[in-house]
Amino acid sequence: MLAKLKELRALNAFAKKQSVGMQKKLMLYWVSMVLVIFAAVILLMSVAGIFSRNDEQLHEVMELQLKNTLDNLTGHLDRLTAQSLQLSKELSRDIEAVLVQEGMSLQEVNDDPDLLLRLQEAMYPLINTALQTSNCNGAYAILDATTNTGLEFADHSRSGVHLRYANLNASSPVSPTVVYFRGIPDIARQKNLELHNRWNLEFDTDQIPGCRELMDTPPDRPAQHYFWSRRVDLKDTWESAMLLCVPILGGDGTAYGVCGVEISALYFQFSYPTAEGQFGSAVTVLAPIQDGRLLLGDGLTGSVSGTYLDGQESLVIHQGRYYNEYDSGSEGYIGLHQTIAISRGEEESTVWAAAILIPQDSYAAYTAGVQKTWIIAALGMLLALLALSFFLARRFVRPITDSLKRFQQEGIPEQAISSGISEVDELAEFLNARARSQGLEHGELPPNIAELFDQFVARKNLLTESERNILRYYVDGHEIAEIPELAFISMSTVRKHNRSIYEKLGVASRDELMLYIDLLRRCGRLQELI
Amino acid sequence: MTNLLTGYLEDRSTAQYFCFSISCEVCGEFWYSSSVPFSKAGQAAEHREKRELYDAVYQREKNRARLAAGREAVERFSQCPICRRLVCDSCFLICDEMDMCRECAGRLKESGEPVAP
Repeated sequence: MLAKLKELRALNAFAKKQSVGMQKKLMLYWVSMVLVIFAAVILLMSVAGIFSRNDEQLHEVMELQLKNTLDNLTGHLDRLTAQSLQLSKELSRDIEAVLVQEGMSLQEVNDDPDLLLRLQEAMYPLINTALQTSNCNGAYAILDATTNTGLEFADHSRSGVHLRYANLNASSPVSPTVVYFRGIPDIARQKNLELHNRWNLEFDTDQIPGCRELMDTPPDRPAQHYFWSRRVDLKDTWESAMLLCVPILGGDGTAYGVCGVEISALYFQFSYPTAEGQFGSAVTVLAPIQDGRLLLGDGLTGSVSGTYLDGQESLVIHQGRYYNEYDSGSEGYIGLHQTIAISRGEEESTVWAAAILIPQDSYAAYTAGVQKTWIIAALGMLLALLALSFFLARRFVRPITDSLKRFQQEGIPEQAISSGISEVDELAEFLNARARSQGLEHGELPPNIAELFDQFVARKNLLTESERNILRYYVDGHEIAEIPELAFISMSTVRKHNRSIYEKLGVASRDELMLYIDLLRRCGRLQELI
Repeated sequence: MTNLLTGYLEDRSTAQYFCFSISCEVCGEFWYSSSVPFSKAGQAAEHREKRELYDAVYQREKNRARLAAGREAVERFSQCPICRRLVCDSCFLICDEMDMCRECAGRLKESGEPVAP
């Protein structure tokens, strides 16, 4: 580890020594900055909960759906309970009226088919009315009496009437046909009803858990003890249903039997279709919770289209922050549930819950789609930022490279280079000045001065020998007053020569002439003049 | 040149002022220097010693005036490098190869322009 660290350090030091182009370096800075900003934005978005917003949204949607479902379900079941309690009351009154009229007790009705027929004839209109007016698919009443007590299964066979809707389907839910599922068939003939293809004369109370107990230990009032049974298979049929069991109490407190309504699994499916949403299909479930499991097999499941539910699963509940996970072992669902009180007076502490379930796969697909969008957007932004970095770096460096090219092409430019960057211009000016001064130190002249001198020296060819003779005195450092003494000519002659010399050499005065001579002497070019 | 000219100066002085002349050896024209008055001009010597003193002052001022006349003549006279004669600016020609007097220029067939036309 330490050795690797050393290697890395050495590599870093080596990289630092390498000369890197300004554009590359600038690009590197830009890219670093872009990446840092990008990471900061991602971090900020993560902290702000942008990425967990899906969970929050899902939570909000499901909470709303659950609330609606709960309201619907509670209202539905409460109405059915109230109607069943009313049915119980009316049945009690009519049964009692028949019994009083016959002067018999209910126990004496056993093995008396005629009396049972009379009782069922009295019960039928009430049951039929309950079925027609309730939001259910079946209504029934069981009398605590049987037609033949001598039969082997007489102890759990009880007479009664059960009317059901036969042709339930999603396309015509409002005009179903009533069929006669249980009861004495004479009534079906009288009422012109079709017998169910799995018709039976009597109920098998063993098929309805708790029914027997309700009749054996009747409460004081029906409202004190009633319950929804767990979903039971309807005997000899492929259907299953939950039955609301309300006791029918006589005036003496004895139980005449049990009545109520039926909600079949099929009816529940039609009543509670899946709610299609952005996260997937939400299924409504009414099921008991036991040992941390949601028992779909004992409850009712709404329409399952778009999911893999078959309504028989036992889902293990994992509580979560935004939603719960429901695991069937092979499939996973997410959703929310809330307990709902649908029975009263039950000793068994069965907790019922209304739940909303969404397949985990659908939600995963949705979040994957959202994540994909995010990733594509982030990558797009990153690429755009990198392109911008490249563009800016190039644009920043271009004036510098252009100036450099001009330097390389022109050498020392005569005019100041304007690159658009003051520091670069200053550097160029500094280098220029230094190059010029170095040139002068080596006897070189600035190009314009050299040209001037060349012209000056070239013009000396215009001078006559006499004038050149005078010029030579000046070159030797003599003053004008000394020339007549030295050349034996008059001062007027000297002045006349001077005028001619000045004119030919292109100078305006003797001072200017002397300046040229001095500069030529310094540059070592004086010989060219004489 | 001044020394040369001084040697050529002819004395034209009087008791009141000092004056010298030079004649051009080509055209013969005389040039007269500016007159310089004697400081003691008009003052009569009262006695012999005074006259002797005035004579010394006169000689000294005359020498000074001669030197000044020589310097003044430098403005106007050149020595021809060919014939070595002293010539005035009117007779001294500016030629291409060498300046010279008019006569030498004519003899040597050199063209030139006089310093003073």
